[in-house]
Amino acid sequence: MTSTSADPALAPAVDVAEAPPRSIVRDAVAELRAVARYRHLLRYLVSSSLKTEHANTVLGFLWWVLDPLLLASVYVLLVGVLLQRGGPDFPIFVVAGIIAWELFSKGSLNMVSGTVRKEASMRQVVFPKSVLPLSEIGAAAIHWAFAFSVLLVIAIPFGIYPSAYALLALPIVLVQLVLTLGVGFFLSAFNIFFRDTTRLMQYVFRIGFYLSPVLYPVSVVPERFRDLYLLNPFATLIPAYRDVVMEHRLPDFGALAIVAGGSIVVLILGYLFFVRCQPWFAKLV
Amino acid sequence: MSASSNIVIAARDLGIKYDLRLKRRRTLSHTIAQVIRGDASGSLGRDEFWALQGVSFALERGEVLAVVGGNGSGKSTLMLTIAGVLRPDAGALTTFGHSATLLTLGSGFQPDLTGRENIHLNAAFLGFGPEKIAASLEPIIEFSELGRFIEAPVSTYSTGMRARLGFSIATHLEPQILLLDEILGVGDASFKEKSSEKMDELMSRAQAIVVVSHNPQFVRDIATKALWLERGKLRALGDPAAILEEYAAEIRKARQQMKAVA
Repeated sequence: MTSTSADPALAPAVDVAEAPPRSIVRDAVAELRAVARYRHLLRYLVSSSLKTEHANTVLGFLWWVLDPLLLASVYVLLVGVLLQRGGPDFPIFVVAGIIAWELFSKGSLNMVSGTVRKEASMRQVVFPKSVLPLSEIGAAAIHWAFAFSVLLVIAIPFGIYPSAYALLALPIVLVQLVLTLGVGFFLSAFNIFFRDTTRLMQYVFRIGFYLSPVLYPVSVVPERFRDLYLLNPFATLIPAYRDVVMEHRLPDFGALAIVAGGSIVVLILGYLFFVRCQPWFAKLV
Repeated sequence: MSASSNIVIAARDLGIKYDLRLKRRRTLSHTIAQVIRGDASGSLGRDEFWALQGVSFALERGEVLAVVGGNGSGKSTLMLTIAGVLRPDAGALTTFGHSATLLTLGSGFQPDLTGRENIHLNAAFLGFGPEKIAASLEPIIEFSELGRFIEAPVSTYSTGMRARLGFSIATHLEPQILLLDEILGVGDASFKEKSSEKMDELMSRAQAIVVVSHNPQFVRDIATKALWLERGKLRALGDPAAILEEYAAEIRKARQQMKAVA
Protein backbone atom coordinates (compact mmCIF):
# COMPACT_ATOMS: atom_id res chain seq x y z
CA MET A 1 0.00 0.00 0.00
CA THR A 2 2.84 2.39 -0.60
CA SER A 3 2.40 3.56 -4.15
CA THR A 4 3.86 6.86 -3.11
CA SER A 5 5.78 7.78 -6.21
CA ALA A 6 4.21 8.59 -9.53
CA ASP A 7 4.42 5.96 -12.22
CA PRO A 8 6.85 7.31 -14.80
CA ALA A 9 4.73 5.83 -17.57
CA LEU A 10 1.95 8.19 -16.58
CA ALA A 11 4.11 11.28 -16.71
CA PRO A 12 3.64 13.53 -19.73
CA ALA A 13 4.97 11.89 -22.85
CA VAL A 14 5.07 15.22 -24.59
CA ASP A 15 7.39 18.04 -23.91
CA VAL A 16 5.62 20.61 -21.82
CA ALA A 17 7.20 23.84 -22.79
CA GLU A 18 8.18 26.10 -19.97
CA ALA A 19 6.67 29.55 -20.35
CA PRO A 20 9.11 31.91 -22.07
CA PRO A 21 10.86 34.38 -19.76
CA ARG A 22 8.38 37.05 -18.89
CA SER A 23 8.70 40.45 -20.38
CA ILE A 24 6.54 43.24 -19.13
CA VAL A 25 6.14 44.78 -22.55
CA ARG A 26 5.15 41.46 -24.13
CA ASP A 27 2.64 40.91 -21.33
CA ALA A 28 1.18 44.38 -21.86
CA VAL A 29 0.76 43.81 -25.60
CA ALA A 30 -0.81 40.40 -24.97
CA GLU A 31 -3.20 41.99 -22.48
CA LEU A 32 -4.26 44.64 -24.99
CA ARG A 33 -4.91 41.95 -27.62
CA ALA A 34 -7.00 40.03 -25.11
CA VAL A 35 -9.00 43.17 -24.32
CA ALA A 36 -9.77 43.48 -28.03
CA ARG A 37 -11.01 39.87 -28.02
CA TYR A 38 -13.15 40.57 -24.95
CA ARG A 39 -14.62 43.80 -26.30
CA HIS A 40 -18.10 42.41 -25.97
CA LEU A 41 -17.55 41.90 -22.23
CA LEU A 42 -16.23 45.45 -22.03
CA ARG A 43 -19.33 46.83 -23.73
CA TYR A 44 -21.64 44.77 -21.57
CA LEU A 45 -19.92 45.83 -18.35
CA VAL A 46 -20.24 49.50 -19.34
CA SER A 47 -23.94 49.17 -20.03
CA SER A 48 -24.67 47.13 -16.92
CA SER A 49 -22.73 49.57 -14.78
CA LEU A 50 -24.78 52.46 -16.17
CA LYS A 51 -27.97 50.48 -15.68
CA THR A 52 -27.42 49.41 -12.08
CA GLU A 53 -26.11 52.75 -10.89
CA HIS A 54 -29.50 54.31 -10.31
CA ALA A 55 -31.47 51.07 -10.46
CA ASN A 56 -33.15 51.50 -7.09
CA THR A 57 -33.77 55.23 -7.13
CA VAL A 58 -37.07 56.92 -7.85
CA LEU A 59 -35.60 59.52 -10.19
CA GLY A 60 -33.36 57.03 -12.01
CA PHE A 61 -31.59 58.53 -14.98
CA LEU A 62 -32.65 62.03 -13.95
CA TRP A 63 -29.79 61.86 -11.47
CA TRP A 64 -27.44 62.25 -14.39
CA VAL A 65 -28.66 65.82 -14.72
CA LEU A 66 -29.28 66.41 -11.04
CA ASP A 67 -25.89 65.27 -9.75
CA PRO A 68 -23.76 68.01 -11.34
CA LEU A 69 -26.48 70.64 -10.83
CA LEU A 70 -27.01 69.96 -7.13
CA LEU A 71 -23.31 69.74 -6.49
CA ALA A 72 -22.81 73.07 -8.23
CA SER A 73 -25.67 74.67 -6.26
CA VAL A 74 -23.93 73.76 -3.01
CA TYR A 75 -20.83 75.64 -4.07
CA VAL A 76 -22.74 78.52 -5.62
CA LEU A 77 -24.52 78.90 -2.30
CA LEU A 78 -21.28 78.71 -0.37
CA VAL A 79 -19.05 80.89 -2.53
CA GLY A 80 -21.50 83.11 -4.39
CA VAL A 81 -24.07 83.78 -1.70
CA LEU A 82 -22.36 83.33 1.65
CA LEU A 83 -18.87 84.54 0.74
CA GLN A 84 -20.16 87.08 -1.80
CA ARG A 85 -17.54 86.09 -4.34
CA GLY A 86 -17.72 85.12 -8.01
CA GLY A 87 -19.33 86.98 -10.91
CA PRO A 88 -22.78 86.70 -12.47
CA ASP A 89 -21.89 83.60 -14.50
CA PHE A 90 -20.29 81.95 -11.47
CA PRO A 91 -22.73 78.96 -11.58
CA ILE A 92 -21.55 78.07 -15.09
CA PHE A 93 -17.96 78.62 -14.06
CA VAL A 94 -18.42 76.15 -11.20
CA VAL A 95 -20.32 73.52 -13.19
CA ALA A 96 -17.67 73.56 -15.91
CA GLY A 97 -15.02 72.91 -13.27
CA ILE A 98 -16.97 70.34 -11.32
CA ILE A 99 -17.87 68.03 -14.19
CA ALA A 100 -14.23 67.98 -15.27
CA TRP A 101 -13.07 67.23 -11.75
CA GLU A 102 -15.73 64.56 -11.24
CA LEU A 103 -14.66 62.74 -14.39
CA PHE A 104 -11.22 62.41 -12.85
CA SER A 105 -12.07 61.74 -9.22
CA LYS A 106 -15.16 59.58 -9.67
CA GLY A 107 -13.71 57.95 -12.77
CA SER A 108 -10.53 56.76 -11.09
CA LEU A 109 -12.32 55.90 -7.84
CA ASN A 110 -14.80 53.75 -9.76
CA MET A 111 -11.96 52.08 -11.62
CA VAL A 112 -10.44 51.07 -8.31
CA SER A 113 -13.61 49.90 -6.57
CA GLY A 114 -15.05 48.33 -9.72
CA THR A 115 -11.97 46.15 -10.14
CA VAL A 116 -11.94 44.82 -6.61
CA ARG A 117 -15.70 44.26 -6.67
CA LYS A 118 -15.33 41.61 -9.38
CA GLU A 119 -13.07 39.46 -7.22
CA ALA A 120 -15.33 36.42 -7.51
CA SER A 121 -15.00 36.47 -11.28
CA MET A 122 -11.24 37.02 -11.13
CA ARG A 123 -10.87 33.94 -8.95
CA GLN A 124 -12.80 31.71 -11.34
CA VAL A 125 -12.53 32.74 -14.95
CA VAL A 126 -9.64 33.75 -17.13
CA PHE A 127 -10.16 37.11 -18.76
CA PRO A 128 -8.05 40.23 -19.27
CA LYS A 129 -8.41 42.00 -15.94
CA SER A 130 -7.92 45.44 -17.45
CA VAL A 131 -11.43 45.09 -18.90
CA LEU A 132 -12.73 45.89 -15.40
CA PRO A 133 -11.16 49.35 -14.89
CA LEU A 134 -11.67 50.13 -18.58
CA SER A 135 -15.40 49.51 -18.30
CA GLU A 136 -15.63 51.91 -15.37
CA ILE A 137 -13.86 54.68 -17.22
CA GLY A 138 -16.15 54.03 -20.19
CA ALA A 139 -19.17 54.62 -17.98
CA ALA A 140 -17.57 57.73 -16.49
CA ALA A 141 -16.88 59.14 -19.97
CA ILE A 142 -20.52 58.67 -20.95
CA HIS A 143 -21.53 60.45 -17.77
CA TRP A 144 -19.23 63.29 -18.63
CA ALA A 145 -20.63 63.65 -22.14
CA PHE A 146 -24.09 63.89 -20.65
CA ALA A 147 -23.12 66.41 -18.00
CA PHE A 148 -21.24 68.48 -20.58
CA SER A 149 -24.34 68.71 -22.75
CA VAL A 150 -26.29 69.84 -19.69
CA LEU A 151 -23.67 72.50 -19.11
CA LEU A 152 -24.07 73.86 -22.64
CA VAL A 153 -27.83 74.09 -22.14
CA ILE A 154 -27.85 75.71 -18.72
CA ALA A 155 -25.29 78.28 -19.93
CA ILE A 156 -27.86 79.74 -22.34
CA PRO A 157 -29.92 81.60 -19.68
CA PHE A 158 -26.62 83.20 -18.61
CA GLY A 159 -26.16 84.62 -22.08
CA ILE A 160 -23.51 82.06 -23.02
CA TYR A 161 -24.47 80.39 -26.27
CA PRO A 162 -22.82 77.20 -27.52
CA SER A 163 -20.26 77.81 -30.25
CA ALA A 164 -18.04 75.67 -32.46
CA TYR A 165 -15.33 76.16 -29.84
CA ALA A 166 -17.21 73.72 -27.62
CA LEU A 167 -16.06 70.94 -29.95
CA LEU A 168 -12.54 71.57 -28.70
CA ALA A 169 -13.69 70.03 -25.42
CA LEU A 170 -13.19 66.65 -27.13
CA PRO A 171 -9.38 66.82 -27.37
CA ILE A 172 -9.30 68.29 -23.85
CA VAL A 173 -11.36 65.47 -22.42
CA LEU A 174 -9.24 62.97 -24.33
CA VAL A 175 -6.12 64.24 -22.55
CA GLN A 176 -7.98 64.05 -19.27
CA LEU A 177 -9.11 60.49 -19.94
CA VAL A 178 -5.54 59.41 -20.65
CA LEU A 179 -4.44 60.91 -17.33
CA THR A 180 -7.37 59.39 -15.44
CA LEU A 181 -6.74 55.95 -16.96
CA GLY A 182 -3.09 56.03 -15.94
CA VAL A 183 -3.85 57.02 -12.36
CA GLY A 184 -6.80 54.61 -12.21
CA PHE A 185 -4.84 51.61 -13.53
CA PHE A 186 -2.05 52.20 -11.05
CA LEU A 187 -4.37 52.57 -8.07
CA SER A 188 -6.63 49.67 -9.14
CA ALA A 189 -3.68 47.29 -8.92
CA PHE A 190 -2.36 48.88 -5.76
CA ASN A 191 -5.75 48.54 -4.10
CA ILE A 192 -5.77 44.76 -4.63
CA PHE A 193 -2.79 44.59 -2.28
CA PHE A 194 -3.79 47.41 0.05
CA ARG A 195 -7.49 47.81 0.53
CA ASP A 196 -7.10 51.16 2.28
CA THR A 197 -6.42 52.77 -1.07
CA THR A 198 -9.99 53.83 -1.84
CA ARG A 199 -10.41 55.45 1.56
CA LEU A 200 -7.17 57.31 1.25
CA MET A 201 -8.01 58.40 -2.29
CA GLN A 202 -11.13 60.21 -1.08
CA TYR A 203 -9.04 62.48 1.11
CA VAL A 204 -6.29 63.00 -1.41
CA PHE A 205 -8.92 63.91 -4.00
CA ARG A 206 -10.51 66.35 -1.62
CA ILE A 207 -7.20 68.16 -1.28
CA GLY A 208 -6.77 67.95 -5.04
CA PHE A 209 -10.18 69.53 -5.49
CA TYR A 210 -9.16 72.63 -3.54
CA LEU A 211 -5.75 72.73 -5.20
CA SER A 212 -7.44 72.81 -8.61
CA PRO A 213 -9.19 75.86 -10.07
CA VAL A 214 -12.71 74.45 -9.67
CA LEU A 215 -14.16 77.15 -7.43
CA TYR A 216 -11.77 79.97 -8.33
CA PRO A 217 -9.77 81.13 -11.36
CA VAL A 218 -6.02 80.48 -11.59
CA SER A 219 -5.48 84.26 -11.39
CA VAL A 220 -6.26 84.31 -7.65
CA VAL A 221 -3.24 82.10 -6.93
CA PRO A 222 -0.42 84.36 -5.63
CA GLU A 223 2.30 85.01 -8.22
CA ARG A 224 5.08 83.34 -6.24
CA PHE A 225 3.18 80.03 -6.01
CA ARG A 226 2.00 80.18 -9.61
CA ASP A 227 4.72 77.98 -11.17
CA LEU A 228 4.26 75.36 -8.50
CA TYR A 229 0.50 75.57 -8.87
CA LEU A 230 0.69 74.99 -12.62
CA LEU A 231 2.32 71.62 -12.03
CA ASN A 232 -1.22 70.42 -11.29
CA PRO A 233 -2.55 69.25 -14.67
CA PHE A 234 -6.01 70.48 -13.71
CA ALA A 235 -4.67 74.03 -13.54
CA THR A 236 -4.41 73.63 -17.32
CA LEU A 237 -7.35 71.34 -18.06
CA ILE A 238 -10.14 73.12 -16.19
CA PRO A 239 -9.40 76.63 -17.59
CA ALA A 240 -9.20 75.02 -21.05
CA TYR A 241 -12.79 73.80 -20.73
CA ARG A 242 -13.87 77.27 -19.63
CA ASP A 243 -12.06 78.87 -22.55
CA VAL A 244 -13.95 76.83 -25.10
CA VAL A 245 -17.36 76.92 -23.38
CA MET A 246 -17.58 80.34 -21.78
CA GLU A 247 -15.01 82.55 -23.50
CA HIS A 248 -15.35 81.14 -27.03
CA ARG A 249 -11.63 81.18 -27.54
CA LEU A 250 -8.83 78.71 -28.15
CA PRO A 251 -7.34 77.04 -25.06
CA ASP A 252 -3.63 77.24 -24.28
CA PHE A 253 -2.50 74.50 -26.65
CA GLY A 254 1.12 74.72 -25.54
CA ALA A 255 0.25 73.95 -21.94
CA LEU A 256 -2.22 71.26 -23.05
CA ALA A 257 0.47 69.57 -25.11
CA ILE A 258 2.72 69.37 -22.06
CA VAL A 259 -0.12 67.92 -19.97
CA ALA A 260 -0.89 65.46 -22.78
CA GLY A 261 2.73 64.30 -22.90
CA GLY A 262 2.82 63.83 -19.13
CA SER A 263 -0.52 62.02 -19.18
CA ILE A 264 0.72 59.55 -21.78
CA VAL A 265 3.73 58.76 -19.61
CA VAL A 266 1.42 58.30 -16.60
CA LEU A 267 -0.82 55.98 -18.62
CA ILE A 268 2.06 53.83 -19.85
CA LEU A 269 3.55 53.49 -16.37
CA GLY A 270 0.17 52.90 -14.73
CA TYR A 271 -0.79 50.27 -17.26
CA LEU A 272 2.53 48.45 -17.04
CA PHE A 273 2.18 48.37 -13.25
CA PHE A 274 -1.33 46.94 -13.59
CA VAL A 275 -0.17 44.26 -16.04
CA ARG A 276 2.80 43.40 -13.83
CA CYS A 277 0.57 42.88 -10.79
CA GLN A 278 -2.21 41.07 -12.61
CA PRO A 279 -0.98 37.46 -12.13
CA TRP A 280 -1.29 37.94 -8.36
CA PHE A 281 -4.87 39.14 -8.41
CA ALA A 282 -6.40 35.66 -8.42
CA LYS A 283 -4.28 34.67 -5.43
CA LEU A 284 -5.13 37.74 -3.39
CA VAL A 285 -8.73 38.69 -3.94
CA MET B 1 2.54 19.04 -29.20
CA SER B 2 3.01 16.36 -31.82
CA ALA B 3 0.00 15.49 -33.93
CA SER B 4 0.21 11.82 -33.00
CA SER B 5 -0.37 12.44 -29.32
CA ASN B 6 -3.82 12.49 -27.87
CA ILE B 7 -2.82 14.42 -24.82
CA VAL B 8 -5.18 17.15 -23.70
CA ILE B 9 -3.60 18.27 -20.43
CA ALA B 10 0.03 17.89 -19.51
CA ALA B 11 1.79 19.14 -16.40
CA ARG B 12 5.46 18.86 -15.58
CA ASP B 13 6.92 19.66 -12.17
CA LEU B 14 4.08 22.06 -11.64
CA GLY B 15 4.45 24.38 -8.68
CA ILE B 16 2.13 27.07 -7.35
CA LYS B 17 3.43 29.32 -4.67
CA TYR B 18 1.60 31.59 -2.29
CA ASP B 19 3.40 34.40 -0.60
CA LEU B 20 1.92 34.51 2.87
CA ARG B 21 2.96 38.10 3.28
CA LEU B 22 0.55 38.98 0.51
CA LYS B 23 -2.51 37.66 2.25
CA ARG B 24 -5.90 38.77 1.18
CA ARG B 25 -7.46 41.87 2.65
CA ARG B 26 -4.28 43.16 4.03
CA THR B 27 -4.14 46.78 5.01
CA LEU B 28 -1.44 49.41 5.04
CA SER B 29 -1.28 49.56 8.84
CA HIS B 30 -0.55 45.84 8.90
CA THR B 31 2.36 46.29 6.50
CA ILE B 32 3.70 49.30 8.34
CA ALA B 33 3.57 47.33 11.57
CA GLN B 34 5.47 44.50 9.88
CA VAL B 35 8.10 46.87 8.58
CA ILE B 36 8.50 48.43 12.02
CA ARG B 37 8.86 45.02 13.63
CA GLY B 38 11.33 44.12 10.92
CA ASP B 39 9.24 41.21 9.62
CA ALA B 40 8.96 42.36 6.06
CA SER B 41 12.66 42.86 5.59
CA GLY B 42 13.35 39.15 6.01
CA SER B 43 14.21 36.89 3.11
CA LEU B 44 11.45 36.31 0.62
CA GLY B 45 11.68 32.56 1.05
CA ARG B 46 10.55 32.66 4.64
CA ASP B 47 6.87 33.25 4.10
CA GLU B 48 6.44 31.18 0.99
CA PHE B 49 3.99 28.37 0.85
CA TRP B 50 3.86 25.90 -1.99
CA ALA B 51 0.23 24.93 -2.54
CA LEU B 52 1.43 22.58 -5.29
CA GLN B 53 4.90 21.27 -5.83
CA GLY B 54 6.48 18.96 -8.37
CA VAL B 55 3.19 17.74 -9.80
CA SER B 56 3.45 15.96 -13.17
CA PHE B 57 0.70 14.18 -15.02
CA ALA B 58 -0.85 13.86 -18.44
CA LEU B 59 -4.43 13.33 -19.46
CA GLU B 60 -5.49 11.97 -22.82
CA ARG B 61 -8.59 12.64 -24.85
CA GLY B 62 -11.67 11.01 -23.34
CA GLU B 63 -10.13 10.45 -19.94
CA VAL B 64 -11.73 11.32 -16.63
CA LEU B 65 -9.29 12.28 -13.91
CA ALA B 66 -10.41 12.08 -10.31
CA VAL B 67 -8.43 14.31 -7.98
CA VAL B 68 -8.59 13.30 -4.33
CA GLY B 69 -6.94 14.55 -1.18
CA GLY B 70 -7.76 16.09 2.15
CA ASN B 71 -8.47 19.72 2.89
CA GLY B 72 -5.66 22.00 1.84
CA SER B 73 -3.99 19.34 -0.28
CA GLY B 74 -4.03 21.59 -3.32
CA LYS B 75 -7.01 20.18 -5.23
CA SER B 76 -8.64 23.55 -5.86
CA THR B 77 -5.31 25.12 -6.69
CA LEU B 78 -4.74 22.42 -9.31
CA MET B 79 -8.18 23.07 -10.81
CA LEU B 80 -7.56 26.80 -10.97
CA THR B 81 -4.23 26.21 -12.66
CA ILE B 82 -5.79 23.97 -15.31
CA ALA B 83 -8.45 26.63 -15.81
CA GLY B 84 -5.67 29.14 -16.40
CA VAL B 85 -6.66 31.40 -13.50
CA LEU B 86 -3.37 30.75 -11.71
CA ARG B 87 -0.05 30.90 -13.49
CA PRO B 88 2.56 28.26 -12.59
CA ASP B 89 5.38 29.55 -10.40
CA ALA B 90 7.48 26.51 -11.29
CA GLY B 91 7.29 23.91 -14.02
CA ALA B 92 4.59 24.13 -16.63
CA LEU B 93 1.07 23.10 -17.50
CA THR B 94 -0.57 23.14 -20.88
CA THR B 95 -4.01 22.35 -22.22
CA PHE B 96 -2.88 22.64 -25.85
CA GLY B 97 -5.26 25.45 -26.62
CA HIS B 98 -8.35 23.74 -25.27
CA SER B 99 -10.58 25.91 -23.14
CA ALA B 100 -10.91 24.64 -19.61
CA THR B 101 -13.61 26.12 -17.43
CA LEU B 102 -14.41 25.51 -13.84
CA LEU B 103 -18.08 24.73 -13.38
CA THR B 104 -19.26 26.75 -10.45
CA LEU B 105 -22.72 27.72 -9.49
CA GLY B 106 -23.22 31.39 -10.11
CA SER B 107 -20.94 32.84 -7.50
CA GLY B 108 -20.26 35.71 -9.91
CA PHE B 109 -23.87 36.90 -10.09
CA GLN B 110 -24.59 40.61 -10.03
CA PRO B 111 -27.59 40.93 -7.72
CA ASP B 112 -28.92 44.13 -9.33
CA LEU B 113 -29.07 42.63 -12.80
CA THR B 114 -31.83 40.34 -13.99
CA GLY B 115 -31.35 36.63 -14.55
CA ARG B 116 -31.18 37.18 -18.28
CA GLU B 117 -28.58 39.92 -17.91
CA ASN B 118 -26.53 37.71 -15.62
CA ILE B 119 -26.52 34.93 -18.20
CA HIS B 120 -25.23 37.45 -20.68
CA LEU B 121 -22.57 38.74 -18.29
CA ASN B 122 -21.39 35.25 -17.34
CA ALA B 123 -21.04 34.25 -20.97
CA ALA B 124 -19.20 37.48 -21.76
CA PHE B 125 -16.74 36.76 -18.95
CA LEU B 126 -15.99 33.46 -20.67
CA GLY B 127 -15.11 35.44 -23.78
CA PHE B 128 -18.19 34.71 -25.88
CA GLY B 129 -19.33 37.19 -28.48
CA PRO B 130 -22.85 38.53 -28.98
CA GLU B 131 -23.95 35.91 -31.57
CA LYS B 132 -22.92 32.94 -29.46
CA ILE B 133 -24.54 34.47 -26.38
CA ALA B 134 -27.79 35.23 -28.20
CA ALA B 135 -27.90 31.62 -29.41
CA SER B 136 -27.40 30.14 -25.96
CA LEU B 137 -29.73 32.45 -24.00
CA GLU B 138 -33.01 30.66 -24.70
CA PRO B 139 -31.77 27.11 -24.01
CA ILE B 140 -30.28 28.30 -20.72
CA ILE B 141 -33.47 30.08 -19.67
CA GLU B 142 -35.59 27.09 -20.62
CA PHE B 143 -33.38 24.63 -18.77
CA SER B 144 -33.36 26.79 -15.64
CA GLU B 145 -37.19 26.63 -15.41
CA LEU B 146 -37.21 30.17 -14.07
CA GLY B 147 -39.98 31.31 -16.40
CA ARG B 148 -40.85 34.97 -16.06
CA PHE B 149 -38.51 35.35 -13.09
CA ILE B 150 -35.69 35.48 -15.60
CA GLU B 151 -36.58 39.18 -16.01
CA ALA B 152 -36.36 39.83 -12.25
CA PRO B 153 -33.16 40.90 -10.49
CA VAL B 154 -31.14 37.97 -9.16
CA SER B 155 -31.26 39.57 -5.70
CA THR B 156 -34.90 38.47 -5.50
CA TYR B 157 -34.10 34.80 -6.22
CA SER B 158 -34.19 32.00 -3.69
CA THR B 159 -31.07 29.90 -3.17
CA GLY B 160 -32.59 27.13 -5.25
CA MET B 161 -33.38 29.48 -8.12
CA ARG B 162 -29.85 30.82 -8.09
CA ALA B 163 -28.41 27.31 -8.10
CA ARG B 164 -30.65 26.32 -11.01
CA LEU B 165 -29.64 29.37 -13.02
CA GLY B 166 -25.97 28.85 -12.16
CA PHE B 167 -26.10 25.21 -13.19
CA SER B 168 -27.86 26.02 -16.45
CA ILE B 169 -25.31 28.66 -17.37
CA ALA B 170 -22.33 26.52 -16.42
CA THR B 171 -23.51 23.47 -18.35
CA HIS B 172 -24.71 25.23 -21.49
CA LEU B 173 -21.51 27.07 -22.23
CA GLU B 174 -19.68 23.83 -23.07
CA PRO B 175 -16.02 24.03 -22.23
CA GLN B 176 -13.73 21.59 -24.03
CA ILE B 177 -12.17 20.49 -20.77
CA LEU B 178 -14.64 20.08 -17.98
CA LEU B 179 -13.49 20.93 -14.47
CA LEU B 180 -15.94 19.83 -11.81
CA ASP B 181 -15.84 20.65 -8.16
CA GLU B 182 -18.31 18.14 -6.73
CA ILE B 183 -21.37 19.51 -8.39
CA LEU B 184 -23.41 16.90 -10.07
CA GLY B 185 -26.97 17.83 -9.33
CA VAL B 186 -28.87 20.71 -7.79
CA GLY B 187 -32.42 21.63 -6.92
CA ASP B 188 -35.40 19.43 -6.17
CA ALA B 189 -35.70 15.78 -7.16
CA SER B 190 -36.92 16.38 -10.70
CA PHE B 191 -34.38 19.08 -11.43
CA LYS B 192 -31.67 16.91 -9.91
CA GLU B 193 -32.52 14.12 -12.31
CA LYS B 194 -32.54 16.50 -15.24
CA SER B 195 -29.26 18.02 -14.18
CA SER B 196 -27.48 14.72 -13.83
CA GLU B 197 -28.71 13.78 -17.30
CA LYS B 198 -27.31 17.06 -18.58
CA MET B 199 -24.08 16.30 -16.78
CA ASP B 200 -23.81 12.91 -18.51
CA GLU B 201 -24.41 14.53 -21.86
CA LEU B 202 -21.77 17.14 -21.18
CA MET B 203 -19.27 14.55 -20.05
CA SER B 204 -19.79 12.50 -23.16
CA ARG B 205 -18.96 15.50 -25.30
CA ALA B 206 -16.01 16.94 -23.38
CA GLN B 207 -12.44 16.34 -24.52
CA ALA B 208 -11.42 15.47 -20.98
CA ILE B 209 -12.81 15.81 -17.49
CA VAL B 210 -11.22 16.55 -14.16
CA VAL B 211 -13.35 15.93 -11.07
CA VAL B 212 -12.38 16.96 -7.59
CA SER B 213 -13.96 14.99 -4.80
CA HIS B 214 -13.71 14.32 -1.11
CA ASN B 215 -15.77 11.26 -1.67
CA PRO B 216 -13.94 8.39 -3.39
CA GLN B 217 -17.09 6.30 -3.99
CA PHE B 218 -18.58 9.18 -5.83
CA VAL B 219 -15.99 9.28 -8.58
CA ARG B 220 -15.04 5.61 -8.76
CA ASP B 221 -17.59 4.85 -11.47
CA ILE B 222 -16.50 7.51 -13.90
CA ALA B 223 -12.78 7.97 -13.35
CA THR B 224 -10.25 6.45 -15.75
CA LYS B 225 -7.33 7.80 -13.78
CA ALA B 226 -6.83 9.10 -10.27
CA LEU B 227 -4.49 11.65 -8.79
CA TRP B 228 -3.95 11.82 -5.04
CA LEU B 229 -2.59 15.02 -3.62
CA GLU B 230 -1.13 15.32 -0.18
CA ARG B 231 0.03 18.69 1.10
CA GLY B 232 0.56 19.95 -2.43
CA LYS B 233 2.59 16.96 -3.59
CA LEU B 234 1.70 14.01 -5.74
CA ARG B 235 1.12 11.04 -3.50
CA ALA B 236 -0.15 8.70 -6.18
CA LEU B 237 -1.18 8.75 -9.81
CA GLY B 238 -2.66 6.02 -11.93
CA ASP B 239 -5.28 3.28 -11.71
CA PRO B 240 -8.37 4.80 -10.07
CA ALA B 241 -9.63 1.62 -8.41
CA ALA B 242 -6.40 1.04 -6.48
CA ILE B 243 -5.77 4.66 -5.58
CA LEU B 244 -9.34 5.44 -4.57
CA GLU B 245 -9.41 2.28 -2.49
CA GLU B 246 -6.21 3.23 -0.74
CA TYR B 247 -7.46 6.77 -0.18
CA ALA B 248 -10.76 5.52 1.23
CA ALA B 249 -8.86 3.19 3.56
CA GLU B 250 -6.81 6.09 4.82
CA ILE B 251 -9.89 8.19 5.48
CA ARG B 252 -11.40 5.30 7.46
CA LYS B 253 -8.20 4.92 9.44
CA ALA B 254 -8.08 8.62 10.22
CA ARG B 255 -11.70 8.53 11.38
CA GLN B 256 -11.06 5.59 13.67
CA GLN B 257 -8.11 7.38 15.19
CA MET B 258 -10.28 10.42 15.77
CA LYS B 259 -12.85 8.24 17.49
CA ALA B 260 -10.20 6.53 19.57
CA VAL B 261 -8.95 9.88 20.77
CA ALA B 262 -12.46 11.01 21.59
